[in-house]
Amino acid sequence: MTHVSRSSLLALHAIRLGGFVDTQAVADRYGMPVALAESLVRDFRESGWISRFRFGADAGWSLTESGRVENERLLADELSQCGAKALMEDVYRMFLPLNARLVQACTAWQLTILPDGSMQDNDHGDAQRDRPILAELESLAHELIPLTIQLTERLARFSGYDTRFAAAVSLAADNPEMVTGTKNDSAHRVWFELHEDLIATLGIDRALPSGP
Amino acid sequence: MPEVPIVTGAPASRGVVAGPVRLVHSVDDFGAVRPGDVIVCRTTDPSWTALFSVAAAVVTETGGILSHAAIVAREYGIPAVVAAEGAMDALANHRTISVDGTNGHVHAVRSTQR
Repeated sequence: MTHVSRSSLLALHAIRLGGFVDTQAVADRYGMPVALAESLVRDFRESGWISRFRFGADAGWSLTESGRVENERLLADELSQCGAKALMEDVYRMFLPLNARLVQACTAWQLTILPDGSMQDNDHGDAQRDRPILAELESLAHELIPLTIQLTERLARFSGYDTRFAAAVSLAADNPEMVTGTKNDSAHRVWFELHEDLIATLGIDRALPSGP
Repeated sequence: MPEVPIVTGAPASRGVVAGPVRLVHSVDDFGAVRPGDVIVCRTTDPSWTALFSVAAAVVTETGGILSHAAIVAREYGIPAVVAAEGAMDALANHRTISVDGTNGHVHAVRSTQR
């Protein structure tokens, strides 16, 4: 049976995954009442687990180093309670080659690397050039489904990555921003979030040389 | 004659720009980042993309042209040099640097040029 995480874990994890989010986004990430998210955010702030930052016009919450430690402690406890560590490691192993293809496709979407090694921006004026990249993203969207199902069967909080990714890819032909954009729920953004979720859940250090 | 770069890495996002060096070890350093800073760090995760919206350029010690950080830097249109081994130590004593994301070079900028 799938495990449903506690609200306090979900709210802190929503800040980890969003990276830099306001309280509304904390509530929205796992469909939590805003009042509950507000009260949890207050507790996190008092515990020193989150900090408020302002960059230009945007303000939001990010995890502090101690918040990150607490987040990973909660995730590790949950994983051992559900006995899902081995499955999670298997899924991560299957995820890595897909991740390698995803970053390749996103990079090809953004630029062409010329024979001399220099970079030229892709202006998306050539539909023929973009078509195989979109086909690769569609293939990745299909391959993400069984992974998401396996994860979600054990931990409910992993639901939605496949459908969000597929939704972004389905819009990409008409809106190139949906592949690598930073402002919307683009394919790369959803994927980066899943990558972060797996890394956080397994307590992997991103700084170690293990791929992109 | 062009000066020898103080740091080299993989070119990951095109352009050349100069700015004050800001070493970012963790989120706890985010508060010190000012618009126009050059962010120098080990690696990045999703929270760091907020920094990219105000930074002039980014230098990371890990990653490659395909890494998530490189993809995000290109979206923001800021020069990026990645896989720049030892960048944090090498740039710690510099105030202003110029990041050449087209060639993967980082140069010192003399104070008179600031």
